[in-house]
Amino acid sequence: MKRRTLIKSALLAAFAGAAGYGGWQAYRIFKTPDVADLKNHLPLINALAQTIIPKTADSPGAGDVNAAAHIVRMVQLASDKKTQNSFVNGLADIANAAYSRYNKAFENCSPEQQAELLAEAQNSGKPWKGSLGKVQQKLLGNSFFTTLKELSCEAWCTSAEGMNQGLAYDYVPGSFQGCVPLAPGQKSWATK
Amino acid sequence: MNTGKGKATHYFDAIVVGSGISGGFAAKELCEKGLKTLVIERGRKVEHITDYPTAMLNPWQFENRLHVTDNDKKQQPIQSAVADESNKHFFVNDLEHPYIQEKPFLWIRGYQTGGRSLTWGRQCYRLSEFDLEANAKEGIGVDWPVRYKDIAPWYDYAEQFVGVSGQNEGLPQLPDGQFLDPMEMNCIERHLRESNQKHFPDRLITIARVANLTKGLKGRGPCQFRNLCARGCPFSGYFSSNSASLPAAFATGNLSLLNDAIVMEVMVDKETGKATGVRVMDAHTHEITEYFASLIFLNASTINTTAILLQSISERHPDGLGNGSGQVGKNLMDHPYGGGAYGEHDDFKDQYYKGRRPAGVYVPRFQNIPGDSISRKYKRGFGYQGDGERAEWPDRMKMEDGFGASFKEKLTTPGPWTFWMIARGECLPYETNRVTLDKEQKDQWGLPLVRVNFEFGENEKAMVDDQKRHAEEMLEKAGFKNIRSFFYNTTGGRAVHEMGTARMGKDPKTSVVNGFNQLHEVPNVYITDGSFMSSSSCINPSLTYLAFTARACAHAVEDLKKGGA
Repeated sequence: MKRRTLIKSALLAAFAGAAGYGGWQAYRIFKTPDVADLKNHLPLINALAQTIIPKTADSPGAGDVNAAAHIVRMVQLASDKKTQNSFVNGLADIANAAYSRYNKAFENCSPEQQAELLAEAQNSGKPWKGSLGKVQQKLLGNSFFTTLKELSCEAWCTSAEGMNQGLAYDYVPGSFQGCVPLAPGQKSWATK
Repeated sequence: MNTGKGKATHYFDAIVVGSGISGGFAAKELCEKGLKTLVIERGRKVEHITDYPTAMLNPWQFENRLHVTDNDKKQQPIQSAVADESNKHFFVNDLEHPYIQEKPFLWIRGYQTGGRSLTWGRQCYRLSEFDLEANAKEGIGVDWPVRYKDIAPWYDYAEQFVGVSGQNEGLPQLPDGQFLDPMEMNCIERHLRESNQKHFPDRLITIARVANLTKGLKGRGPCQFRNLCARGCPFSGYFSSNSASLPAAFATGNLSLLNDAIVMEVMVDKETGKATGVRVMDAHTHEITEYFASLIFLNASTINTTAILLQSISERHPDGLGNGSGQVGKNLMDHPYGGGAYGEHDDFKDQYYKGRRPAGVYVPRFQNIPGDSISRKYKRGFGYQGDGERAEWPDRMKMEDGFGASFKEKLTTPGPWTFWMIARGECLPYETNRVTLDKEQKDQWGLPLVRVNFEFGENEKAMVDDQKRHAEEMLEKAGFKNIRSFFYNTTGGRAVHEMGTARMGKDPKTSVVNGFNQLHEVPNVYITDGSFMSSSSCINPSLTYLAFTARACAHAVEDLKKGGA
């Protein structure tokens, strides 16, 4: 989806909203998703991933390690149709929100602006609590934010940089010690 | 003497069908006793170490970062329940190897040298006297013709070759063994063990007994604590046919290994009634060859051994080889994953662990044994497999709200200690849980498709409440919070412990093999894979197959020397 079509779809959504919001929402979730188009939005997805896991003193962020490649691949190859639609839609929504609010692409917004936009996506994508949440997940798939967050983490935590710099990667431990004092500032093990 | 016709190269002293955990061990035993032995494996060749292509790869070197994709599920709808990107090449393509599920049943298979011994869970426990006498006491199934004293020395023998690490605890329901040093328990596991000693003295928590080497053994290992066993281990850190049994068998000079060869049937001499050999189809060319031997061991894994018996139709055996009892294919068992619980603990925040232990902890059965004060609504019982660890990124990415630098801090540091345990119960033998052959549908080799009709019974279901409750109360007493109990309700076959379809018993009218794993009706055929199990206990069964295999091999060779077979 090109940016123009993103905006067009947002306008369409506004019209459809007047006609019947529920029907349009349902259509957006259950239609055949255009996941092939995701490869055209790698900079946007990397910027989003970087907002989830930013660069810090010790290690790069998720966008820095090109988390988008893994995110897109997993949305395409390992997600149900509803989760795919939510991801495609959520991506369009957040890109449009950046344009309408800041007149800029999301990836060109300041970190504060990006955080604000993503916080909104997080709030709208928060699953309901308890068993209702499970039903919701079954009916609607994962929300845009959940998919983005978990795949960003997976991509970064399995990258060479994430594992070696952000986490503690012990390639061949050689021995096992069940109880050792935690050193100050010690990172989590990168693999279980 | 062999009476069949064929090339001289097709004559052996013994034939072993299957190179998995029991077949590999049978080959070793027979070769070491001087028998020229042919092992026939239906799958491809997998050489130890050189054919473990993923063994040393880092997570980022996998295309999908070990995430199971839709395509994986399409190619391996059954196997993907347990396989992932790092080991899927050791599991069959389900589309090429169909079977019929009358009710949902996961038939997990590894068609290659070593079979599923490459990918097994490696937990090694002994059957107890309670297990072996239960059928007789309760009038269920048939009585085991074996008691603990008969098999105990063979457990010793198997453990000493395999290399099992573990701790002796002196429990009658989980007999001690010949163990290498146990792996260490971590802080939370020690805490739970101590809490149970105070609050639930009948519920011991011990380190899992596993076929991972805590010190080098016969040139193998030690375990490097990578916890990547199912990829195959370049350090030979765990026991498999490939790492241990087959090399020992080859070392005798007596072993021949034939890959890509599917055993269609066992051939029987019309006059003597004894087996003469096996008829084999090349998996690629479909060419048929006969191999002959005085002694045949069937170790094709439970369901495939059953299929071979049922396919071996002759005048003397119209319903399948050794099936005069009509029991072949009946009494299929697997272990249900049942109830369990999870909790988090606030203490020990300044403690961690180092290395990746390829095993958890074990709570041996404490129900329906002497000393159990609770009146149970079911027979037999269950044990728990559990694991304590600190929450790490795969957990924390879901546990922790938010994003950004503060989220990254949580994602990269150890979270609370957690403990998780799941019960696995004994499954009773039911005649209706059954493996049969389809009368019409065939696979690409023209062999009848296997039909599996299996479901867990009332006794297994009746355990679930206790499984949840007891797990919860152990965690409560040990000060855990956010405790959640659950019930996995897994499909049959998920434990990959299918067994029981050629049961062992004293009476040829009601059982298939005798107390030495010999077919009652064809004494030169032995079955020592899971098929012979007369009951399932609730423990992991592979070590028991190994012990009975060694015992059967000793018996068979003695018989041969006497001219019996």
